[in-house]
Amino acid sequence: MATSSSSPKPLLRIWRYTTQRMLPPVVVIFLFLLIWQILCSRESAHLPTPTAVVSDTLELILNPFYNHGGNDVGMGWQIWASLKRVALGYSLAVVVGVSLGILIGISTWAMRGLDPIFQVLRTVPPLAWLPISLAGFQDNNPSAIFVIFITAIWPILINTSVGVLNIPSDYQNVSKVLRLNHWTYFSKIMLPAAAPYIFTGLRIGIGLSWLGIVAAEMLIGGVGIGFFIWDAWNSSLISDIVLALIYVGIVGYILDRIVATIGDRVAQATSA
Amino acid sequence: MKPEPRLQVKNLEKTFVTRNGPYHALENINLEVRPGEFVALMGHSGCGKSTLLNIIAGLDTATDGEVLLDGDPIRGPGPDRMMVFQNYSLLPWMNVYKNVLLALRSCRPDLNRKTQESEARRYIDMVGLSHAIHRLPRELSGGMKQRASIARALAVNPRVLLLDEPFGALDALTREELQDELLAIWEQNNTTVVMITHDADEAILLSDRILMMTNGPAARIGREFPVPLQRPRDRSSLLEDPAFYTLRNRLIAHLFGEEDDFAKGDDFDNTLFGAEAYLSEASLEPAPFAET
Repeated sequence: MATSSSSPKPLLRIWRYTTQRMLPPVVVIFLFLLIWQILCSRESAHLPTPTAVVSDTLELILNPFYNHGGNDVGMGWQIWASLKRVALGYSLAVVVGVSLGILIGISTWAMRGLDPIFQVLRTVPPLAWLPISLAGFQDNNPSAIFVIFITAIWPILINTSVGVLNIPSDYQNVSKVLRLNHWTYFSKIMLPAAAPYIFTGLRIGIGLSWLGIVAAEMLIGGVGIGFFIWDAWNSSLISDIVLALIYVGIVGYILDRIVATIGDRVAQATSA
Repeated sequence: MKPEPRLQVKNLEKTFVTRNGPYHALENINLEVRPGEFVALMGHSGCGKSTLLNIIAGLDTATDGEVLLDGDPIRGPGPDRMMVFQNYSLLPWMNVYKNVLLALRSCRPDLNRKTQESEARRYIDMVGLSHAIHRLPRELSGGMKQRASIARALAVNPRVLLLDEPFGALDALTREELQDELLAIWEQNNTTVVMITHDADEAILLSDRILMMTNGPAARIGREFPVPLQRPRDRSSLLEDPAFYTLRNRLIAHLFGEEDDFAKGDDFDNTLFGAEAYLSEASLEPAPFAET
């Protein structure tokens, strides 16, 4: 019957969801761990097996928020320290990137003047900025934040300017005929019209920020997931590195999903 | 004494600069629209009707000549020449009410906020959209979008309402429905209207005067057909009126280039060429430009 197939019983639905959506990743992860286990069980293996990782890092897994002072804090605190730097650097990049992107989008003069500079600067790898920012700030923390800022700003800036340049001429004509004032044009037409582009930039930006912070922290030291990894390497705690990489991946994924979800909502709200 | 025209277009010329050199789009356009008059502008695709309307709206500039509104030259676009666009141009992130209210807030500062709000509702009601007032444009059918767009245009109380093929994108039934409503609204409000249309029936039903443009390049207003039909009009009685068919046949003959009674001899070529352009348009090929 059509009715029974369109709304199956709840139990059946849960069963289907489990077999069709949950089962494939579980199977694949299990196979991946199994192969890893087999490969690293040999005497000559340099890397720990998954079971060794779990047993070596059990304390870190079970107790993410211990604090023994200095660098010796739980993984939760390490990630939290990195997230704070990202939050600061990324927020600055959003404010400056969106503002400059709008400026480039509305002013041909600004675009001609700034675009060549930006096109060159955006190709500079994040870490190449670290020495010059250390020289400028004479301090680790602001330097790391600056690296995040300079890494995240380019996609935000460029996508914002593309969004502003691509405001449909229909909406521009409406605003001309209605003689909307600058503020109304900005808030009611430009921002909503460019919002999907801006969020594309924001999403790329947050991913790059997270890439940048891990690398930058390896060099600046202190508390933070990047330096945790570097420190573990120097202490030959390979299992700690594996655990940290898993955390980095999961946090990066969550950050991406948060921005992507907001972006999808905004794109949906502003689409024709 | 002749009343002062609401809208005057004087010796208007438009030349586009293209890669292949200048393209003379409009040549020596002259027209006058009286207050409260409904004028239809007809002609083949690409003849420059929309360019002319955009120049009147101030969204495009003339190469030469001028456009006067109540005797004053126009300066840029403005709500006194409100446009209804073919593709509606509603802001997709605002519902019907907010789209109309945005226009009122910007163009009717003489009204206080409460009055602006009640005016927005009144015009939405006038176009029969009260039930959909809080819907977003994407939740509306094409006809409903155009109703909203018309409500927005009327709400700012323009001195001339410009309609660029307002019903071109709609299905036949919706088009007739909206034509009837526009007719009723126009007869109530006495707005001055300039409308571009491809549809001879629409032009006859709605307008007082039909201006037929020649084909580009260098399009001109080739002929003027007054519509000798009593007002108020309605579709059913119109269809029984022999004057309707006489005019309709003349318009269509003219569009197909069978009528050779132009004032100037060279127009004959233009109209023959017009038939050719019309046919090629029907087969979805680009209309050929004259080799001259």
